[in-house]
Amino acid sequence: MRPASSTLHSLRQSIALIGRDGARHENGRSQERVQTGYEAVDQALGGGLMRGALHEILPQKPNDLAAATGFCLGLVARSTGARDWIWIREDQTLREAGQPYGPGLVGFGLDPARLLLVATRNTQDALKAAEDALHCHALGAVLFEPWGDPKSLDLTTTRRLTLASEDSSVPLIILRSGGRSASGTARTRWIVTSKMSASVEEPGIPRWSIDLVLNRQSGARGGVRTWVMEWRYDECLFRPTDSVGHLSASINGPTETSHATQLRRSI
Amino acid sequence: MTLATARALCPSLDVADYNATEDYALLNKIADWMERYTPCVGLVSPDSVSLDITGATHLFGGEESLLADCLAHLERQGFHAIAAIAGTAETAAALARFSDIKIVAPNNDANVVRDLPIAALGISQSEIIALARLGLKSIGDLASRPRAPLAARFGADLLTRLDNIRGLTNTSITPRRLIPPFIAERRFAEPIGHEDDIHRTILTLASDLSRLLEKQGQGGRRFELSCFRTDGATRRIGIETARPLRDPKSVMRLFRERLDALTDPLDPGFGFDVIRLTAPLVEIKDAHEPDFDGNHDLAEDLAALIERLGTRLHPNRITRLMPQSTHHPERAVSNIPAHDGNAALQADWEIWREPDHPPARPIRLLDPPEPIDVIAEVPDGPPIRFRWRRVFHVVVKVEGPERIAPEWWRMTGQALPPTRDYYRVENEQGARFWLFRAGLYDRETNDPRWFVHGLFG
Repeated sequence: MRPASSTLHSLRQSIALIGRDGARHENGRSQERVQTGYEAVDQALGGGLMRGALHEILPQKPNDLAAATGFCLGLVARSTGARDWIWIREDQTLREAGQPYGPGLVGFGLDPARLLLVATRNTQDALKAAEDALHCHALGAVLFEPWGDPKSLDLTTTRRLTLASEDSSVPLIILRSGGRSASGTARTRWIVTSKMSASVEEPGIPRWSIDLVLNRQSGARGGVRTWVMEWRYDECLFRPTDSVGHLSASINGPTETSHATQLRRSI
Repeated sequence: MTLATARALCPSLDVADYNATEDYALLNKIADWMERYTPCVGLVSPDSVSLDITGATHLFGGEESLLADCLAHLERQGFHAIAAIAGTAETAAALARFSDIKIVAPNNDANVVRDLPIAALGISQSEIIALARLGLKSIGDLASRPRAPLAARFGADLLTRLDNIRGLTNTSITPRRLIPPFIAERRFAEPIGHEDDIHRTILTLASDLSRLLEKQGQGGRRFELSCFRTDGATRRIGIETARPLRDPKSVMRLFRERLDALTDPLDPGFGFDVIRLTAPLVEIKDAHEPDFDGNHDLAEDLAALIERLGTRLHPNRITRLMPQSTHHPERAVSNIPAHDGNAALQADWEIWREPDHPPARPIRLLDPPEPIDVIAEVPDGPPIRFRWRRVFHVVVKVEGPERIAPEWWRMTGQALPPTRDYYRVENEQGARFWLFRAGLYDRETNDPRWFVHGLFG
């Protein structure tokens, strides 16, 4: 049984290494990329966000926390597909920044039925839970939200988390609510600032300015970059803002949109 | 006897008030410990415990040695106890109190109790006197009388008691706790206390239990470990699983998580002499073959993760979202433990989907809503500026109001909370908030208060 199964295993592995283009990719699934949908971003990242890696997202100011959360959720939505994903946070985060709200997640383009929520008393427990979650192949993504600048999130810990993530190809997205200092082994680090939405009268499609301040992905090009992008919740894609005009035109036509807005307001 | 008389007889007498609750608690502890003999233990009256030892005696080398072992242990724990073994619990209780015969041969109950006084029936003092006046002093006297006149005079209860004590009825002991369908246990001649020994025992028990479960095609959804200390203390530790489980290693892993996370560690004292593992809740589990690689399927993996986190943190700390059919924002979602989360997996969230319109609900909800200072043009108009957590925000874009009235049908006998007018607003920097004004101006209040309830992405 042993030798047969190990042969099978190695065969499967070598098949798994063959990419869609038919070529052999040495590093397997952990090198797999998640396309953001925004071409310029994907190019800068060398083909998209790496799956088996740690990505860190920080809000520019405390008030940008919701925007940073939105960006994280966008990345999660891009990388999970039909799989379950897990959101680990501390009780302190819950009190300070509110809890994930199901109806809002639906509107944002996510399926709340796929979400597992973990609340822990302290950072230690949260880190342990995150590491356990990263060892679980069934998950699509792990969103980890420690509060503040925990001392325990040091180089050793992030190294462990990275290894776990590489092993299972489950991306770890760390949302640093209320924290500033950078954590060790992140492949990419992003700073999110909220931006005024495009619509004139009512709050419109989520729009952020995203700074890519660290890019250690293989095949990455260029240094620090800034993009202004929108999260198209209906398509589940990040889009550059300049294309918004013709996009919404192709869906609704700009005049009709404002007409709909008028209607909504008059109701 | 009065206390004065007793003191006169024995001047060094210790006196304590009778405390029914503490007595009851103590009796419960004794009953817990008694479960080492059989899982079916019942509390009878304020001072006795009855055990159904059917099929359990051989473990202790017969009825005599079981009785002796039990009394010796209780003696060592500092209790003076009397006990008897008989066909029914009532017979045994009567014999223990009123007779020297402590063990009755099967089907001999009626003969043995014949000479017992009628007080053994557990009837009131006045009834005992009334019966004595009729010349009925023993159970045998009473049994030989015609039944109808006795029932007419003393009620049917007397006859029921009489039948019970003579072992004629088929009474059963009501166990204190549900008897689990699957039990595995180990008894130790020499009590064990070392952590490794305990872990090894749990693994052996889990394997035993797994074989039992496998025979019936079942898997456990809940497991309970009972550790019986030699000095009479018992400790129970339970784990819950997210799927029917019987793999001994997985069960062991969960118990290890639980034991590591205990705030008050498992204290073996002078050692455990009985350790029992039960599966109080089981579900059908089909046999499962891993594939050639020995890979587990993903659903198994996920269930294992939920179990691990639930066992270590608390089942309520790993949850899924469940939509509720209400428009009240706080109540529209509830968190349910993920190990029972199947309902949440199938939940329908479609009613919240609003295509072609920016999200109407925030991604983060502040619970409770946080009060803010607001400047509005008119008291019932949208906000122009507001201050939240000591920061000023200038509102640039507004949508609203969306009026959400309180659910009066839930508020029986309470004051109705104010109606809320919700606004989605965007500030100069592009941060988006979900604000509401509590109370309709002029109709419900003249000084409406404002709150921030959520944050949009």
